[in-house]
Amino acid sequence: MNRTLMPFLKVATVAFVPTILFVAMCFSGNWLQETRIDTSLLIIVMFSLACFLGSAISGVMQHLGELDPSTRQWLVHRGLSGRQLFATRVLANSLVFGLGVPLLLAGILLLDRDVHSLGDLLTDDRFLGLLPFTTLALTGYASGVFLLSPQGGLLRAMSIGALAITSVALGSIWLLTPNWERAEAPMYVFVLFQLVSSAAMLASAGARALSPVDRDRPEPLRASIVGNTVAIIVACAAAIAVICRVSHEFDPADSLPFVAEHPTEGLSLVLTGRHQTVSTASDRYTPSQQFQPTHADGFGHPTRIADVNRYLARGNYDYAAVRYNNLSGGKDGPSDERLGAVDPRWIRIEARDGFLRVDSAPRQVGDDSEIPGKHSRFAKPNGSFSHRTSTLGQTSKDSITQYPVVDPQDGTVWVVSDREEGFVLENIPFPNGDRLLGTEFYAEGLDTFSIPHRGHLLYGRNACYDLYDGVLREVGPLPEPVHYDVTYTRLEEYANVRVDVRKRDTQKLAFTHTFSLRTAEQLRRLSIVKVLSCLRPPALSLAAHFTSTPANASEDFALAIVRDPIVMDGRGRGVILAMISVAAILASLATRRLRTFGAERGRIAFWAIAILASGPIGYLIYRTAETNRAWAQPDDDSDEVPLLIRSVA
Amino acid sequence: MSTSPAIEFRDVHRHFGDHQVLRGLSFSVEPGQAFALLGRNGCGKSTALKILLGFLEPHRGEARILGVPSSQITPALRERIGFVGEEHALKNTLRLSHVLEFEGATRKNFDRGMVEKALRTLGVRLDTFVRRLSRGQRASLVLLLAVAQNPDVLVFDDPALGLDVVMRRELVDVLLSLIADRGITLLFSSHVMQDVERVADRVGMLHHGRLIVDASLDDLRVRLRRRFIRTHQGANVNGSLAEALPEVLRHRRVRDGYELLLLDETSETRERLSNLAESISDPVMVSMEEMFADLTCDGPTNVLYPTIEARGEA
Repeated sequence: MNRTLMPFLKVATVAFVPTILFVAMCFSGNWLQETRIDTSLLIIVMFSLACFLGSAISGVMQHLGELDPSTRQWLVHRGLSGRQLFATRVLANSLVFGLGVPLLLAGILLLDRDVHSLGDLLTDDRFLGLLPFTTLALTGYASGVFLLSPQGGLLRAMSIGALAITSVALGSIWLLTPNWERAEAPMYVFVLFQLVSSAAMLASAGARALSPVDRDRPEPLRASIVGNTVAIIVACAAAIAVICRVSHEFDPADSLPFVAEHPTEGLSLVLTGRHQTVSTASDRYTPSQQFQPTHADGFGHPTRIADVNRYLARGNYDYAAVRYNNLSGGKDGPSDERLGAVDPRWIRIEARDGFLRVDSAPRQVGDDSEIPGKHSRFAKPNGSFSHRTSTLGQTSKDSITQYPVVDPQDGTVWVVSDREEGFVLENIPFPNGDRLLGTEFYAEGLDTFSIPHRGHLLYGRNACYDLYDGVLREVGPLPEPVHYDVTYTRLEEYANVRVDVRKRDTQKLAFTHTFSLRTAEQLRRLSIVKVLSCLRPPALSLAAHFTSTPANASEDFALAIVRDPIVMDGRGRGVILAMISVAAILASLATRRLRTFGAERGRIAFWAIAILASGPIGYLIYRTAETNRAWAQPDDDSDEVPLLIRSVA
Repeated sequence: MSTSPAIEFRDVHRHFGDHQVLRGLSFSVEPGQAFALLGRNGCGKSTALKILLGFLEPHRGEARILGVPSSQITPALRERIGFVGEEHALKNTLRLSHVLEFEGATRKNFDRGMVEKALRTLGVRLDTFVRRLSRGQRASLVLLLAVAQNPDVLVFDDPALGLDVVMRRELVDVLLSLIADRGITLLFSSHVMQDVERVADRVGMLHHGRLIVDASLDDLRVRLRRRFIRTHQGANVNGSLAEALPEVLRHRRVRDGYELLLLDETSETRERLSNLAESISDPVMVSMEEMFADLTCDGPTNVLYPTIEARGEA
């Protein structure tokens, strides 16, 4: 075995060169981080680099050369099976990524003055922080191998490879980017996602490892089932990611409608969103007008209309934002300060795994000197920071920059002070034992030429507070109590919500409005979203249709994959029917065609089930897999050429 | 001792797209025999060899090697089969010592000493990179590697392709010295008839996907003859030749007569020919190259025809 592995291990050591470069790029303070690009772009760049390096390694090493049939034959024709050869190479290369990078990093960190022992090393954030990128490189390598493995022509190889890499890239970005209306996935989910993707791609490539590439014969049934199942899964993942993203762009109603009381117009239903889609009782709305919202969430994340009930069910507030000095709409909606980062270029504050992590990037001071970045992790003395912990901008006290942090879970307020010796976390107690109920962003003087004053109001049970000079000071009594109860009733159709406003004391209906998409633009957007929904795998949509989503599941990323707002929770029967009909027609077309070819029963059954489950995506994969050429049976139309000379001797 | 053939093709069909390459190829090679598979470019020689080694699957029929269907060749069986492709595939980035290391690691019976000795004879150092080798040295190396695994069967797909005359002769010398007295079954394809005559015991000629010749070299030399006939005033006797003389394998019109390729000519043949012709030349032995050109051309419209005619004029 050692003799067998030796040549591969020798070649695999070559991979350490790009690995060292790769590790260098992962360190904070390097050129990549100095470019001041935002986090999501950084992730895209890192993923691209990791993929590039991984693919390059897989290409420069043995896999690329095997596309040449003669090399493949030379390699296959020996006393080891193709799979054994494949496995040894994958093992060697994975060792480089799986062990090489962490070992190298550990070595470097142990030399760092901040880390002095192995124990410190294992708990060092930088060590853990590199783990996702290590797995990214492994995924890049697996993508490269997978890209080179499919049977068929260049088009098929490229399309399947591109789909695989797109799905992994989008999935990775999705899992790492916090601003997609969900909590950021934990690191282990991301790492697990990368490992599972890599394993699936390598398994698929392994099933076809060094098998003869023959476009004139159908792929052997077993390899076809394994390989095409993986291809369908990655294609579906890619398609869902793209559909989700595009649907989000075309979403006709992407934030919570709220009822506002206008000084002169009375009650109105207001929906602010990226598209400024607004529906009011009088169908009139001017963003710059002064509104008095009667109901909204103080920590109001931009939320899709389909999530209204869950959104409301989640809140633990009797009431929340009650006063807006200026209502400006926009993507983030009012008062969305849960950014997870105050300034991602310099400082990042986020709650993760119960801890509050504060990281700052190094800063250039003058021409030569540089202030190194600081990294701190704080635990709450008697509990843990919830993932909804938010920052409220920044203030300063005695020339020290402070970052207020609130945790709505237990209603506590904290402040992170950026001191020279490091970050310091302090609790800011509420006067008179009060408790935080909600916050509100305010900005005064936006309509004047003076510098606007911005800040946050913190609503307690007893009073309204302002954080000033590191102390919560009471700025006035609580606003007028809410006079109305608002109920949202989701009707059958998507984005079709009835809003009833009742007087709290008499429960008399004061206002009712059924929010629906009325304008041509709104309907056009809805139709696009519905068509996109039809492209989703029917199996997933059916599961979403018949599963009632729990009220507190709005932040669950895993559910977001299957949570198609068009069909979820029993809605969109028409879309479901259309989806199933299309899948059934495509499956029957595929079955008929395969029967004509004389395909095996197992193959016909596999494709029928796959297309029924995955819909048009599966059909596309099927068409690229089962080509006419592979099943062609040309007529032997030549004249008979007799055996002219034969000798027995 | 088993008497089953070392290599066997049974009604093998194979197509690429709409192009039917093999149409019922059938032949066998006995153990210890050197069989040359001949044919024009694109006639299916390489395809046949790939099918035999399991690199391609036939659409119909079966190929067997050492008694095992080619689709079921195991790594253990591959140890007993040496193969050299026409591209002489090797990793260019490796040194020869690394190549030997790799071969030794992946082939159980690899005789590294034999290759090192042979390379020294050829004047090639072990620290040389593969990419630095000349085409002839590269061809010799792959040949050596194939033989060094002590195979029972050697399969070569035109190993001398692209080599100059001297290199080709040297390569054949190396091959002959390597397989001498080893009892190795050899199946190779080639376009160079001199090599075929030096190495092969038996030849098969592929034409339009079928075997048109499957005979020993000695047999061919004895049974095939060429004659020229002059017809009365250059009369056209195409139809009569085909009907009356089944021994005539090929005939070509040359000026005022015909050039004939005859198989198993008898006195009766000569008698019937004299009825058709004004004069008949003496029989001439046919070289492998002529035989190949005649048997694999597609009639008078063949591109070879003007050349033959010109020779007739001379």
